[in-house]
Amino acid sequence: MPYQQKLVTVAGYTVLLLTAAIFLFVAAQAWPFFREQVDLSFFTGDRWLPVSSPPTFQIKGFLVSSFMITTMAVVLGCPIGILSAVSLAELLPRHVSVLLRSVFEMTAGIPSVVWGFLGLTVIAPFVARVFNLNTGLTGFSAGLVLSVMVLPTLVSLADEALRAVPREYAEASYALGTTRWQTIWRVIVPAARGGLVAAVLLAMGRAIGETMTVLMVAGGRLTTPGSIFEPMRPITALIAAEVTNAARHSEQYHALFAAGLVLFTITLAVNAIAAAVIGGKKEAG
Amino acid sequence: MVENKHKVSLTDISIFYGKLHVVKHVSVELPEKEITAIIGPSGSGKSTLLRSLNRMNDHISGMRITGEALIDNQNILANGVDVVMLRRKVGMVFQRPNPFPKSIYENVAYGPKLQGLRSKADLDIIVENSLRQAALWDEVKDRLHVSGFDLSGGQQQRLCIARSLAVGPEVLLMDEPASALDPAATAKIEELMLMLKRTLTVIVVTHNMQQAARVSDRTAFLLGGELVEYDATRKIFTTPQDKRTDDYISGKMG
Amino acid sequence: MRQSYTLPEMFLLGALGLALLPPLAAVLYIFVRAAAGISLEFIFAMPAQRGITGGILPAIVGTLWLLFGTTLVVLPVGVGAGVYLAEFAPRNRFTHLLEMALINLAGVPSVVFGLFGYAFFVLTLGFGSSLLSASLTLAIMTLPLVVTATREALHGVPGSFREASLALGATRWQAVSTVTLPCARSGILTGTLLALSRAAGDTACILITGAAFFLPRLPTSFMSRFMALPYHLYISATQLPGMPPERIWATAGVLLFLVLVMQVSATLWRERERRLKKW
Repeated sequence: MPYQQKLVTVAGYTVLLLTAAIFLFVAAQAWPFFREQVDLSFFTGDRWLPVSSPPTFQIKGFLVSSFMITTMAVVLGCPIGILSAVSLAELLPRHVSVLLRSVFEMTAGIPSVVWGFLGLTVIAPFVARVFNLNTGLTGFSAGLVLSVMVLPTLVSLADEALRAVPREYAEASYALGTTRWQTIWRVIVPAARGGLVAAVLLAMGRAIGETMTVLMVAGGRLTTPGSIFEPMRPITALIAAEVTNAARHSEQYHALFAAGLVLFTITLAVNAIAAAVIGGKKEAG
Repeated sequence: MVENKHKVSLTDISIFYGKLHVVKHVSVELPEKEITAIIGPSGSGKSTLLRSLNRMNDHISGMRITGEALIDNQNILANGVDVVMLRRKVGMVFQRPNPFPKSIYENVAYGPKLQGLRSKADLDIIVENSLRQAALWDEVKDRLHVSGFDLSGGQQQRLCIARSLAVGPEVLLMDEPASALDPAATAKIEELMLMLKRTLTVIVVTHNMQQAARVSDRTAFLLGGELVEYDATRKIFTTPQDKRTDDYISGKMG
Repeated sequence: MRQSYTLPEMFLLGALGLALLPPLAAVLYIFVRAAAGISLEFIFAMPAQRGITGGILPAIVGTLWLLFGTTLVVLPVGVGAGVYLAEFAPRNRFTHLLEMALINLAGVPSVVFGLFGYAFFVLTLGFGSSLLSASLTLAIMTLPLVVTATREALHGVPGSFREASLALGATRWQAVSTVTLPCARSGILTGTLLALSRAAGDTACILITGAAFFLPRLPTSFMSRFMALPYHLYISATQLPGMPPERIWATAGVLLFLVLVMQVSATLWRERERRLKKW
């Protein structure tokens, strides 16, 4: 085997090694925290008090915030995203679709800190006015901005799933005298179901992991929010806001890694489910 | 016909893809500097057999081959065989013209350069000779540096032949070399094959029985992976010994 | 042929319009608001008075350093791994595991990469808060994108090229290095450029691994702390009450411009190659 081939093999192994290393390393930093933790209050409690004595670290509030904002982003984003994908894949002339796909790809590149800034200066004041709130820095504003941010992922994956449906299906349907509208909803969309579900899941994964927007827009209150119109802090924002202030090997440091491990595990699970949905569909087909 | 010495001899060759027995116990001896045609319906194992002669099947996972294949009395299926050296000796031309997205010159110089030849003067000579041998030189000598894709389909196929010749093979395997070409381009390829056999042993897989009849000295008829009949082409096409051969060449099958 | 649409189909197209409107409006609005704050001084001068006057040169240069550092690491490793997966990886359990790792790595939130980078590069390896730590972290974040782009670009090269090369007596490595890799080159480079545009805009990673808000000097080595555009935008927008708004918009405008230039040039280049390609 020439040495170049050995080098690329090593590079390939590196990817595997790195993924394992990241997980294990984050887990190792979280371990001292979990070792001290005898009950489930980390997940079920509402108190995050890093500087009181003794300090308390409980993340229910952050998990609930992440859940609320993600749900809102996906619920708002999905219908628009999937309908857009149907337009791109089935309705528009090819060259228009090609152009619009590039536009979507470009919007995917707008940095999240820029979205956060817009949320802060444009969306939050607007939300405060419309809903008559003291502050617009709420889960609602963050969810609104996130619903726009997940669209590129959602649209491109859904579009891909729709276009992967064999053309023969559509032709067979047209040959039976159905309209384009009927063909889309009765033949193409059902055939692409697995891919569409995976697209929604992966968009959800993105929303859960999104950090800067929620850090800037969601408001940052540390307790469990009662409604989406309250200020809140999702788990990503918690980590970004506190990790560099926590002394190494302090309890707070380990607790933040524990939170990071939870976040990591959630996104891995979402990814794994999406992969299983796609994989299952392939085997069935 | 004077019998040339045997260049290639196969003994009891069987090829499997997983559990599928694609080529079954084929034994045949191919004379040097002749054209042997392998004919048979689709799926009869012709291409698989051909591709085993330069070990191109090695790259298909699940492929297994048994038996003995001698080229110049060396078993090319043995474990220690250097496939790179083998492929320099046994060239191959594919069904669809597949020039690289490089210039005509670079396409032909590709093989020699792989072997480490760097001298511009030497490469120039090899490129010219190979293109002449492939009857393409006069058509392209003024535009050696345009892309191989700018040629017509027939010219592209002759470019691919020139590219193989540049490596200096002794055997040339051709896998339905004219099936993607129009009749005029096909005629040119056939004419070229007749010139090539002055220096090379040519083995051609073809779907086209007229082609086999026109160019080959010997014909092997494969059916369902079995060698049904192998003889001088003239005999195969006039007085086949096997009923199945007769059916196939008279168009009752495949 | 003129397309005609029924009423419900118009509704679908409306949804598409609704999806495209916010990002396009956002880009336009930012550039309009940024115009007031952009000047030569803003771009080419050092910051003064905690960033309230002067320019943002160190943030621009810092981001370019980050991109350079990230490229240096991610290009060889990412392209190498992509080549391995597309050309050499045997079809077995191990390769399947590798593919799964790749998919999962792509789904990891950037703040988790930041967390890892902080604990591993900054603290454990002792690189401190520096360009080095941040570049390495960004390289890991962009790695799955580069690997996937490379693998897809190589899969797009017709198998007949590879076959022809092998049949001419090339070793597997020679077939890759002389034929398939050159054919896939533009796909790999555009994919890498897109991945780097992600790195240019990422904030969560560098926030944790070493960006600083006010450093009125340019970085001198990879061990330096650094300013960077996205972090600068984050701090000026959230933590500095006295910051003149037009300066914040201008920072956002410069960042967005940099990222979009990378994106658009990658897209245009890819389309051009697609048109020129003859196979």
